Amino acid sequence: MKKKMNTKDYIFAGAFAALYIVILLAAVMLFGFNPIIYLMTPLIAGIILGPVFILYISKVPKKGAILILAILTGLVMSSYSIIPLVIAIAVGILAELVLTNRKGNIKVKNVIAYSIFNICLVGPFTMLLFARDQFMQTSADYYGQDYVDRISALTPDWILLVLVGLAIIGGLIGATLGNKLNKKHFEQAGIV
Amino acid sequence: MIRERKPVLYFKKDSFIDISPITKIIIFILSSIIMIRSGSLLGEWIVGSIAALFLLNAKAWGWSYKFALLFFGTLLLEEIAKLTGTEQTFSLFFVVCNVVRIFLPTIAMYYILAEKTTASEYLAVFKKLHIPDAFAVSFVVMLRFIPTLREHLQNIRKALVFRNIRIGPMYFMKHPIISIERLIVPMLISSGKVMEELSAAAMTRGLDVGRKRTTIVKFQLHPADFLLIIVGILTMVYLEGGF
Amino acid sequence: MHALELQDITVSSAASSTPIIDNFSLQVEAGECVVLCGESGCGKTTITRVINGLVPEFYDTLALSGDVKHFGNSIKEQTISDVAKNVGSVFQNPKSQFFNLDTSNELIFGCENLNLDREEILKRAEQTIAGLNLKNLVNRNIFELSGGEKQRIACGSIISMRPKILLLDEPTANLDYESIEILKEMLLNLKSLGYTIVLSEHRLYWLEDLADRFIYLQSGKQLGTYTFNELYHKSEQELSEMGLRSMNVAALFENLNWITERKRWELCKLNDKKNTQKSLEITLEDVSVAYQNTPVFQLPKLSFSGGSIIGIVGENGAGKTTFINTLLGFMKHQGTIRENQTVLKKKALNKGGFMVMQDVNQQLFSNTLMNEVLLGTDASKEQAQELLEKLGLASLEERHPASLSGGEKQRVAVASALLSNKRMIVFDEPTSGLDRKSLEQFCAEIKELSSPDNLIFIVTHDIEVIFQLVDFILPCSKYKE
Repeated sequence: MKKKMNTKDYIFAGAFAALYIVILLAAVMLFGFNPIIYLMTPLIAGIILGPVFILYISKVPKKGAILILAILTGLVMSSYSIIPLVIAIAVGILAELVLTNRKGNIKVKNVIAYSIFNICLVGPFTMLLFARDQFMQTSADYYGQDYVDRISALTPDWILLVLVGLAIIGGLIGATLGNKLNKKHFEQAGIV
Repeated sequence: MIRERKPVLYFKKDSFIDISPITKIIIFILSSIIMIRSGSLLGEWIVGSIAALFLLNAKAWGWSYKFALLFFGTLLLEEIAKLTGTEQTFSLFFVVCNVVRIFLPTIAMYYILAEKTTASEYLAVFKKLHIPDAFAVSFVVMLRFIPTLREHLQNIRKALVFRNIRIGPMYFMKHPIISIERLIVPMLISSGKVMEELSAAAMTRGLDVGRKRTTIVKFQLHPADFLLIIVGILTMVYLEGGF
Repeated sequence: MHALELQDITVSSAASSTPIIDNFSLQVEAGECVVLCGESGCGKTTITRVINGLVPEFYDTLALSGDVKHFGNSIKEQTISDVAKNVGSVFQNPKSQFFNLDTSNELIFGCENLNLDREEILKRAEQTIAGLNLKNLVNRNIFELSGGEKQRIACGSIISMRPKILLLDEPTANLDYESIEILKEMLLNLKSLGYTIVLSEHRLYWLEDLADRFIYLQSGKQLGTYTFNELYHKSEQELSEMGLRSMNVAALFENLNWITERKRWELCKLNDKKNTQKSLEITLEDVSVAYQNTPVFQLPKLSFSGGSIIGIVGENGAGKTTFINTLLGFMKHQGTIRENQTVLKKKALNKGGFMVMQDVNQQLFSNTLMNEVLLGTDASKEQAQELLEKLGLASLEERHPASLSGGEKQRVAVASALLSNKRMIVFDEPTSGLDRKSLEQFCAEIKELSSPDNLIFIVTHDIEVIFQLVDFILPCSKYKE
């Protein structure tokens, strides 16, 4: 299991990153028009992407595989700044650490690793904070500081923490679903 | 000897001036920092102009047009409103415009990086920066695979329609797990096969991570690259220093 | 010294006790062209994978014994990338063998991997383009190329690497008649330059003048060696027993050309089928479709009556796919499509139609075959069982659909179409890569399923299917003002 990744594995890594991104985009498009559900993306997309991640780490059970996926998806998610990439790399390394030792109950470890990995979906939402700051700044010019203070009380910083929480829950459900689908479909179809 | 007209091979995307991806990446990062942190009008004009020039250079006419209209159009409108003293009337509109504008240049640069830069150009940069081949290969495969997968996804949705299943927001909310299964399972199974064929084909053409390989595009920085990087850095230093 | 030597090759997998390749030996001389032929599953593809080193390095669940020598050198200690210097491989599916999104980068991809100088690479690319006449294919996006053009670029890409042996695994599986002719020209040219060529193929008719020997395989064993003439003079009966596809199809092509000559977008009758009871009639009136403001087709009137099997033919870009998508309700169209007297809108067309896709994997959704055929239908389990029985799938009820063979998957898709009472069933290139037995079985099944209540459309360039199965041909062609 501890073998190094080879050419085939690196190609699979790229292909799975593409799968991750295409499915993520499809999920966002499916729900993107409703702002409330849009904020649920870390949960919903996290669940949808769980099977992709689980199949990937079953097919390429090697050191470094998750990190590469994290860097690639982080790059693609960095459409407005590099913060999502930084977050993706950080959670990628943490997820790698969970799976350094693949002995024991691998299914549980997979679930934990993915729940951490899935926090990368919060990355693009840091945009909201910047957007809010900009909104406050320009509103101050127009409406005065008093108005801004009242608005900012309504839109707290902890929204990001809520998103992280949603991401972790999405990760738990998604990975569990992934384990199930692996058994129900992919093992029988002979692709694991 | 008869000389036929030689075909010229292009390994890069069509553009007026050849700009290195490294410059694009630096401008991408700088413009996001400037737009988020400064909020100065001068900064907006400079960053917006650079992004617009990039779009024009890449011959992305549609994008250039829309970008210029949205970015400079709203800036001008706000100026006019200020001159005529009507800015309070449309204040909400201008606040929203301001927010949208922060992200526009970075999104434009992102488009340039994603759609108007070829794999070979990236490979040249990766090699120059000594980024391991392992990453380079995965990165290129990802770029290669995205269009194929989009096609797969379309086919699968079509196939579901034949089974009287249309997965939209409502259907998904009602049957979340079933929806995921119906989309993801065929997606992973059909892509898995293509992936395997692709890597077999690449390896039989000598691709081997860890082995030295040529990159057809040479890494080169032209005066235009330096000029852009310098303008970007100066703008940032000037604006940050002004705080 | 032989260009290629296989000594006592045995390939086995842990999953089965009978080996996939059983003690196979072969010697190929420099400049020779050898074809591996036989039914699906006879092992010919596996042998090509042994020759280019994919077995066992890439397909690591397979075990290999015996030795492979290229010009006297054993490849036992070599990696796939070492072997790649001597052996250039072209694969069956033109879609999945491209590493780049444009043709120029693809042509030099192999050379980059060989770590050649930039100047050398450009020189070689230029020679390849001139030698293989690829001039009008450079600087193109791979998604705009036809299957035949893709295969030519794939050949170009390996020729730039200057291998000594060319290995082609069913290169014509997805090609039409003209593309095969062009590919043949190209291979003849390469052979005359001294390349050693090894092919694995189902279609054999096009290999005249090219192939020196045909190696016939069955269940991983070599059963005989033939020349083109020896196979050519076998009767259809004998070929059928061997599981080999027809050798003489030139007459069929002439016949097809004669029938469809100067006819565009109108039905051409191929055989006289008595159509007594008319219960279904699909009529297209003044239907036109435009794609990004360019018209694809304009049809004054076209009508199909129930029970017919219609073959849709035409070159790449002729509008076959657009036509099918219109029939199935995925395209915005002008004009009316009627079923008997009722006008069908897009949704109704979606509901009444079904397509068996080229990649059937994209339409299998369930974990057992039974669930699969019942998905989206109101049919009962008994009805499903009856149908599966008829299609010879009864014993597979509990299997995972993705674990079936290609032909079986196709039949599963057909079963679900029939159970949901679909009236228009479209097959998109159903026979690419099928051997004779599967082809004949396919034709027999479709004939069996055709009834006055349904219409079957087959998009194909497989001449054998056209003449064995089809009642009408609809020749498609690019719209010209």
